[in-house]
Amino acid sequence: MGENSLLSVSAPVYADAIRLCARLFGSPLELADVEAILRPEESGVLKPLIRIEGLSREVEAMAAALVALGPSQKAEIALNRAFCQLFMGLGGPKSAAPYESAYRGSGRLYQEPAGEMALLLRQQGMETTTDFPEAPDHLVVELALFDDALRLGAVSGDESDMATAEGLRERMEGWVPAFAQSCRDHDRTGFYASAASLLAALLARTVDWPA
Amino acid sequence: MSSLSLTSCSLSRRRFLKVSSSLTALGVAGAMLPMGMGRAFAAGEAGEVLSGSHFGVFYGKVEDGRLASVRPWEKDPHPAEMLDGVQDIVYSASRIRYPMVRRAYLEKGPQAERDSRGAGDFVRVSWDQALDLVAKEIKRLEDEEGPWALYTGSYGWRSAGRMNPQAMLQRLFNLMGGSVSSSSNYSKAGIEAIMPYVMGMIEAEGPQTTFKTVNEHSDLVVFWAVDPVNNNRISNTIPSHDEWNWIDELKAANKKTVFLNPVKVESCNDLNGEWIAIRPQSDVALALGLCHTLLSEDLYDKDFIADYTYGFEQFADYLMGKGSDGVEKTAEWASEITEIPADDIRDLAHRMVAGRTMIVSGWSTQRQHHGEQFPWALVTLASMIGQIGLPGGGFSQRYHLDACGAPVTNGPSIGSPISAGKRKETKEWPEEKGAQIIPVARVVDMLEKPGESYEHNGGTHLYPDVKMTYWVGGNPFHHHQDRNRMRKAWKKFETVVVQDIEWTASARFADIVLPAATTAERNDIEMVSPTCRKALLAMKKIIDPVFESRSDYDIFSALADKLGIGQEFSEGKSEMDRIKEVYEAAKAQAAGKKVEMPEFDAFWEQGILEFEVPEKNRDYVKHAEFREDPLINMLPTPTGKIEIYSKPIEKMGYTEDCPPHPTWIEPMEWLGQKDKTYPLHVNSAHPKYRLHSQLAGTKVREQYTVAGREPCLINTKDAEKRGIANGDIVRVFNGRGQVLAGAVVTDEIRPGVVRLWEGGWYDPEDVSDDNTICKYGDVNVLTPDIGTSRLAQGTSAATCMAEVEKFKGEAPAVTVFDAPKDAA
Repeated sequence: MGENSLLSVSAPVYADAIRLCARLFGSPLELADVEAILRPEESGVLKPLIRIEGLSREVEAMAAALVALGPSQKAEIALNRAFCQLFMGLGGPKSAAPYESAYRGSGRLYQEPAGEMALLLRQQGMETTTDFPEAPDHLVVELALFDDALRLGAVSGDESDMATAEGLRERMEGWVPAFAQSCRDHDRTGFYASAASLLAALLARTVDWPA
Repeated sequence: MSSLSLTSCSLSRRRFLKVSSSLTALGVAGAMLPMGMGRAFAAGEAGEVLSGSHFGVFYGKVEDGRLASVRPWEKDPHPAEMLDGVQDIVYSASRIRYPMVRRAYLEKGPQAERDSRGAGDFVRVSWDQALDLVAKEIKRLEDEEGPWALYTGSYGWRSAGRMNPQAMLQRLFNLMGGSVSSSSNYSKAGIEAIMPYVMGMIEAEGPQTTFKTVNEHSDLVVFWAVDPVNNNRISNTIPSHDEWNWIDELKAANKKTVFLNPVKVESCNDLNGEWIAIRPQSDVALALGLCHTLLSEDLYDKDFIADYTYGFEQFADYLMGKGSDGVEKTAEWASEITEIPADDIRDLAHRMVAGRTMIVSGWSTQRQHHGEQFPWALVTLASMIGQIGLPGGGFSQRYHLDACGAPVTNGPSIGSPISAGKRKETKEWPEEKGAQIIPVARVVDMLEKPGESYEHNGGTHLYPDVKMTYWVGGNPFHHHQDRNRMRKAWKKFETVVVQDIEWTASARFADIVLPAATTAERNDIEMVSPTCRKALLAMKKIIDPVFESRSDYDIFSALADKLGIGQEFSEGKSEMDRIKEVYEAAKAQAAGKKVEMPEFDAFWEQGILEFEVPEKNRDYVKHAEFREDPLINMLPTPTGKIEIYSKPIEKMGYTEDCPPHPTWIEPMEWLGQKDKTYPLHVNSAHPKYRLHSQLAGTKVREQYTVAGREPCLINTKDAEKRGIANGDIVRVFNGRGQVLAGAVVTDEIRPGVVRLWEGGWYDPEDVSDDNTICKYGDVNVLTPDIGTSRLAQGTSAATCMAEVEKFKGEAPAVTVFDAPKDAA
């Protein structure tokens, strides 16, 4: 966990950052996304990440990777290709499968973590949207549920909401570093490798709940 | 936060979770399952479901709608090690999850550039959009061109079950006006072409002399280029694994076994057999040397030759040097070619006639240049031994697949639920538009030479000018030869549609990719062990399709709707309707044999229906009736006899590549050639832990990869000469291409030979480079794409020479399945 574990982030800020990460890993970036990321920091979409202390190096790495890919249109194609290779199965052995089951136990998808997450979603009364028919232990499902739990806990102050959020953070902290390593191993663009490293660093921070 | 930045892009919009639609059911299992995973998690209640696969009958354990584990059926005598792969197939990271379209194709359709195929730039689309694109292109080509522009020769082992997607594909295209399809296969095209001329049938099909009679009567079993233990792990349908009992009994009986093979195979080790390390591709020469010994020493069965064969005189002349080549095929002559000492050849011939001998061959010897010759030579040798039709004697060309030596039960045969039907003649198909069917292994020739003529099995045809292909349940970027040539030729297709379960190399080189469900995600029916008909299995759906995959029948039905032929295609029948029809037909057939089968619902509930073996079938001997009375039970050949000389083949005039009797013809490349640029023969046997390329995309691969790559067997001396150590990454290369592999240094392979299993997934480093290296070890990058001869036009994959060197520098990163190892 390292030095990051000593840091904490307020729940609303944490939620914004997590929501952005979910979107980064939820679908390939479109041209407008690429251009939005490349805007100056204060008006760019990465702002929720920038304002968290200690993440600037990873944010800069993401932006630099994007710039290195060339004009936005070219970057969009390169990122799409990387997304397909890493997260959609095209890469085969060179994938970074975005599922918790890929990093726990046998490494097969849809194993115990998927069952646990299905139960948690049921308990929270949530389900995936129709255009995202993914396994319940997909990175983005876990992030999205964490995002919701953070916002709910910050508003309600309910201990069970906060416990849900804490549980999800710890859960992801357990496997996202391995996922990030896979991204670093196989991402030729560097963008998703940096984004995954950023996410791992973010998840190492605890939640600072409103008093 | 800038409103511009958060509203102008998808990063600001996308949501992945929503409040469950049925909060009132909170706490009630099933009803509350989240929608996305609901389809995957709601199929089964907790428990086990009996089903089947190419690797055996198994129980799938379902937990919370997930296929949590598999265990073999308790009556499987020797479950295959790769059965867990069934689970991997469903939950592979390589699974195709959504309909995808190559970006360039999505933008420009069939006019899109094709150079970027394989680069992985796909865009997810809806099912509706994907099927619209496919339907539009089929209609365009059927209307503007004709059926000759569409190639549906889709070939491959698909997933197990009778709901054959390749038949569905044919049916759909036939209803649309037709398409170019293919004949035969990559497994045994040589045997399939030659044996009807020799025996009047494809010997490698149907029941063989039972294992029991071999155990009881054979004194010597010669396994010629075959490894039954290795191959019987899998089946074209569902394996029973009954041949393992045979191997155990052979071993217990301490039967003398000889293995003629450049590799000391698993069966040889299991049976403690005698290994004769024959030089690859010299099998015909050895057979001729054996025949010559029997002839010159007057040891052959003259009565059998006289009563049961035709054309021996011409063959005998050829053996004795009175043929067109003027060369006598002595043991010494054979020794020079095979590198087996002449005395050993003579000794083997003597042993073959000293007692009862069963000669068992595999198919690799016919998957080579002039591959028609060896099966013919084998039958001729067996004829001279004179034991065909006797218990434990003669020959078999199929002891290595589907337990064909197990006794046949009283069970019915099982039909097909989907008929391809006949072409609806919406357009005339003029001769100049080319053949309606091509030999399957000649697909690249067809792409390279539209309008040009080719010869096949006595006929002359034209290659059609195809523009689109639709591939389902197969991986041509595995099973076809000379990958780099193929990649170039594949660009001829304006549209490539692949419907499959995983991102195979073929899927990555497609334009439109459709995600199909695995057998675990749909209902089906199949016979366990198709030849002996051991049991009928209700292949029940274990879980619902994951992600956005759909069953093949569902996909084709939806596509047929788009094409306006929905009713004609489905006939209003569901998948289960068709399964039930197959069962009812089998039941009626069984009733005719006074075998009672339960009503369908009871069968479906029961899960598996085993059949009894009539006592007489246990001692079945192939060709016994022919032997008993060759006039009444004549073979369906022109003479009614075994044709050692074939007049129909003589009439074809294939003197150079398929003469009218078994003949030694030097292959295009082999160890005996003068040119030593590529001094090692490449053996591309069937893999131990896969079904061709199936399971290559799963964790099963961890059982055999070396340095994350396909294992490359190399002899100790060859390795030493090249400074190669066990576990090294090696580059295997020739003039056609190059692959990386992991070295396995061993004395269980003959010097001068290396082995790379077929079926390793093609993994090009740079798709824009015509000679790019395959980082994983697809042997078909190296193999030549030539026909066996004009007779079969089969694959010649076993004709291949290459060089091997230790890979220097940093190998391209293919750290196969290392992600789980990094897990905390």
